[in-house]
Amino acid sequence: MSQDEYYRGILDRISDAFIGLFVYLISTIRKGWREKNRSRIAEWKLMFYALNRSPPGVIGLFLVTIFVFLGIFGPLIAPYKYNYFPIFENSKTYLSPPGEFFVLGADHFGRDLLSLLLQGARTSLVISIIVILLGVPAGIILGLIAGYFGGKIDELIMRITDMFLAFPPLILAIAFAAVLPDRISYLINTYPPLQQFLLWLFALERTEGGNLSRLLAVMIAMAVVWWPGYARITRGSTLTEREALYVESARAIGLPSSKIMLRHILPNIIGPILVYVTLDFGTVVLTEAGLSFLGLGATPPIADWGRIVYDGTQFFPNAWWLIIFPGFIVFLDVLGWNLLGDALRDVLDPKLRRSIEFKVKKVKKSKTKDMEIKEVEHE
Amino acid sequence: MSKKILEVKNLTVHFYTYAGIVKAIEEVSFDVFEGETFALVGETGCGKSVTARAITQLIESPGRIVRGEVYYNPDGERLNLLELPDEEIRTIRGNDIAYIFQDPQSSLDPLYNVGYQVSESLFVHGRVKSIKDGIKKAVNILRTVLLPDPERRVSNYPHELSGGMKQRVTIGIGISNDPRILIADEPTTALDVTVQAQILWLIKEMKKRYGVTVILITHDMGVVADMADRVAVMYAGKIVEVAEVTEVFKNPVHPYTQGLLKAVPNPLKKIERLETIPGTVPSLINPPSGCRFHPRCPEISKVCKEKIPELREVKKNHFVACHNR
Amino acid sequence: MAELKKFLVRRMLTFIPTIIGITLIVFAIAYLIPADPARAWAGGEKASQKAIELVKERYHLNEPWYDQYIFLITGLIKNEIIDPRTSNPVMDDVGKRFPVTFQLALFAYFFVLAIGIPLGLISALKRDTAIDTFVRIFALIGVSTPVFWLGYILIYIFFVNIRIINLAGVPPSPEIVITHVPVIDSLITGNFELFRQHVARFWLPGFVLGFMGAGVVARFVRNSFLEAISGDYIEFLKAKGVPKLRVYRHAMKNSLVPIITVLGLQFGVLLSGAPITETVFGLPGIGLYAVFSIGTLDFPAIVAVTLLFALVYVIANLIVDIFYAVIDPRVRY
Ligand SMILES: Nc1ncnc2c1ncn2[C@@H]1O[C@H](COP(=O)(O)OP(=O)(O)O)[C@@H](O)[C@H]1O
Ligand SMILES: [Mg+2]
Repeated sequence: MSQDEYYRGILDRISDAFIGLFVYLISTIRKGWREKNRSRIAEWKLMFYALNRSPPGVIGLFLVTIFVFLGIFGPLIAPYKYNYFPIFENSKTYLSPPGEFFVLGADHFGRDLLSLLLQGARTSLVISIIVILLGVPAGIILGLIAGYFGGKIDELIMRITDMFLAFPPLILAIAFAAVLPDRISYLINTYPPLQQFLLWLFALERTEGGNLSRLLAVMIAMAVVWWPGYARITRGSTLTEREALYVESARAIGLPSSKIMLRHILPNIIGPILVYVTLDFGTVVLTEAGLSFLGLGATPPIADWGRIVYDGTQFFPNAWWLIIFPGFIVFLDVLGWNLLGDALRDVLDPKLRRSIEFKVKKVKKSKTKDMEIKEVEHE
Repeated sequence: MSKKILEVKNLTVHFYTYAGIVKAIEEVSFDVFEGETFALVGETGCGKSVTARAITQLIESPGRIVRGEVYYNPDGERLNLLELPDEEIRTIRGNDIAYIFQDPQSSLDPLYNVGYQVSESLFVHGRVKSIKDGIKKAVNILRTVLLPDPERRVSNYPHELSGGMKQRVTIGIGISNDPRILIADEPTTALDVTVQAQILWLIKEMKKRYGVTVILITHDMGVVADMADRVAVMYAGKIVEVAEVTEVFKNPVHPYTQGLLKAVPNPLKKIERLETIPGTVPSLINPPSGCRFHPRCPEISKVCKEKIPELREVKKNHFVACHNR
Repeated sequence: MAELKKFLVRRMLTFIPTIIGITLIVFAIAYLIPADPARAWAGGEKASQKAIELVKERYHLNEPWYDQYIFLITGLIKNEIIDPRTSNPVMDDVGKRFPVTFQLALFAYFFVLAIGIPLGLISALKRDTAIDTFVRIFALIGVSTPVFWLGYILIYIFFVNIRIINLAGVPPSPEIVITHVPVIDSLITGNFELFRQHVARFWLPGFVLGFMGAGVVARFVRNSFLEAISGDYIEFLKAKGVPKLRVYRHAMKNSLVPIITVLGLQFGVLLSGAPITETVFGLPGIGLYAVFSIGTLDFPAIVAVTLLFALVYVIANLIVDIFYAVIDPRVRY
């Protein structure tokens, strides 16, 4: 118990520091923000405390931190480069099982699976982030517009949104991913800075320039599928927020609509959307792996978790490690995001939040008199 | 004076919430006599509903009845309701002690017609063989609560009825098993003013006809004056004064009761918030020490902060919890 | 009844724009294809100019886009479009493969319901206990598991090791066709041997495809049930002295309304997930067909598949609406 308390204390202090830093940053940009939002800051702190008391949330946060870390530093700490083919030097490395040449075995080019997985962490992270960065703001903006203006505009946007929602997302993504590369390769080839930037993002070498368009196509395809969900939830929250007093008064003093939407409504509805993003991040990772498992997206020698499995299936069941390990990594990554998102959702829901911390010890009902109840005081 | 049908002793209910332990009611004691109308008054959030529900163990997690006894004394028996196992307390609820809640809008299950819901309350206490059999009786019950056109209404769904009609249906459900005690928790708060009087009249009528004991919860002093025989005044989870209704209006003793009545010179006015007593209802997570009213009390002395006042009989049948009286 | 019929017709009419919209989107994607589809269809690089012209003529590729679109859609509906790749009428190809996918989705749906609903209810009834935690973790694991990974692990266990499933081909359809879904037809017509074969072939892919949905549904059932059981009318039921099981029945019925929505959506999700499952288990279904069609720029086929998916979506929605109307008296026709 005291051990528990000790670690929670540390976690609480870390989260306090984190919020403190965040608040400090905001209040340097906007003077007086801290004073105006005291209750909100206190609420955030409570949320983090609650998160720290939810073991799945802590595990999720831990996994997510690891995978973000690996996404950033994975290619640097990988023992071998993704485009180093040992098979040319030693033909025995061909599909060598775990432990023989490399800890986790090798693929059909004799490449070290561990290094590929580390490199693949970058691919996965970059694609997921870009999909979120493209899809989520688009959805939020459309949802804001639909919810704020209502009427015909709302009707039109939501009809289109419904169409995209009606569509099996994987099929739509497949269609886009198959069709786009030819278009994009032209774009990439005519803008060398873009090409270089992408190569740097994915930690790839110059020689892979030609393969970038397929990666980019997958990202765009997924972004196209991803915005409708966000348009929906943003519209929903905007509709309720639109009636709030502060929006009325902002309108009354003649602020432009765009300003009201972005400066006033958005900050008030962003919380739940961010939780949704957290939950969704896992789905993005999973979908990306699925697409590359179907042979879309990354092509060898670019390392990609789904693609490793796709190539490995030819050698199934002999080279089982090419399927089991990458699949497990995808699983852990997605699980991390889902655990974190799930815990965050509880924390954001005031009704559920109560139950996180106060797990009252169950006492037999018959003894109503002087029941002893473990009282867990907060603060 | 007739016999005590219900004795509540030291009833204490806590809610274990994220923000802390809400000590919703603490050491609440009162008696209810057979055949009377006993009113429980106080500001919103002072624990009236919690008290009423705790009587038949209707407290849900995160709440818990921490302590106390509730003796129900039907003919020749003395039952501690809080010690009864689930199945036995169930047969008491609705059968011996029935409830009407504040919001008829949400008291009825939207997916079943009202005939079914009335009949169901007969069925679960073994008064009819099946729900279908009970429909005819349901029509009669709905007729006694003056629901217009009951033959047709029994097959209506709740959303097809007005608020007042729905409350008539819940009253019908309440009296359907001819209970000994009817607990009406703010039965008119959610209704239109015009309908309120009708519903109160109906409750009186039911009381006359069935001789049921009524525990009426309200924050409306006008309703108290109109309906009650005796009154208990609650503040922040504790009972501060109990007396007969005329006594409370004529000689209020507790400073809170006095403030309450001063705030409502016209008893027909509602007391949502007390403007004449400075301050607000305290947090029940960290209630004030000693007398919970002391931060707002005009006549505070040292002992008020230190000692919790007990209910004392200051006059015959007039109980007050205050150190200074 | 007449009311219900009118309601359904009205609902169907509102679905038409959705279907047109979806096919338009896909058509636009197909239109984006920069490579010359006519050349590909006429036989690739070495196609003669004449053959290419013929293909263009045949598929109206020289006409403006709206003409092409109308030609394609009406042609598909009348089943007059010949697939350039397989030289069969497109809808024949699609019609051959769709039952496989549909059957796969049915098996998956079975697992979604059979696992998801009981687990959700148990979890709600035993909330905040070890069982509840277990279901929660199961659901999170469900949505986190890559379908291909789970598929291969299970193939490894059941096929490579204990060899109790087979992975080749698909059992034949029964002689008498009633529903076009072989497993149902063989059951109705009493052909139990064939039924057994279908179950043997499809249960594992169905389980893999349904695994994710089972967790999602379990969680959703749990939350809807808890939401329903915290309703005010539940408190009134308890105050009425209604026994526990009966109270649960009320809560169940009330929680069914949101649950049905999710179950309706799940069917679409299952169909959408079909390509990966079909790839892993080598099932010649519509998902695999779509992936392959996209790879070969066979866009009449792509549009046909889309049309079909849109129809399934619309029908699933319609069924959900009917359930609503039956369960909830507040829904007006
Ligand atoms: N489910 C609950 N969770 C937490 N606190 C509760 C709950 N129900 C009631 N309370 C607390 O109990 C106190 C008394 O509530 P209640 O009896 O409903 O007041 P009222 O007098 O208006 O009927 C309130 O302060 C409220 O905060
Ligand atoms: Mg109340």
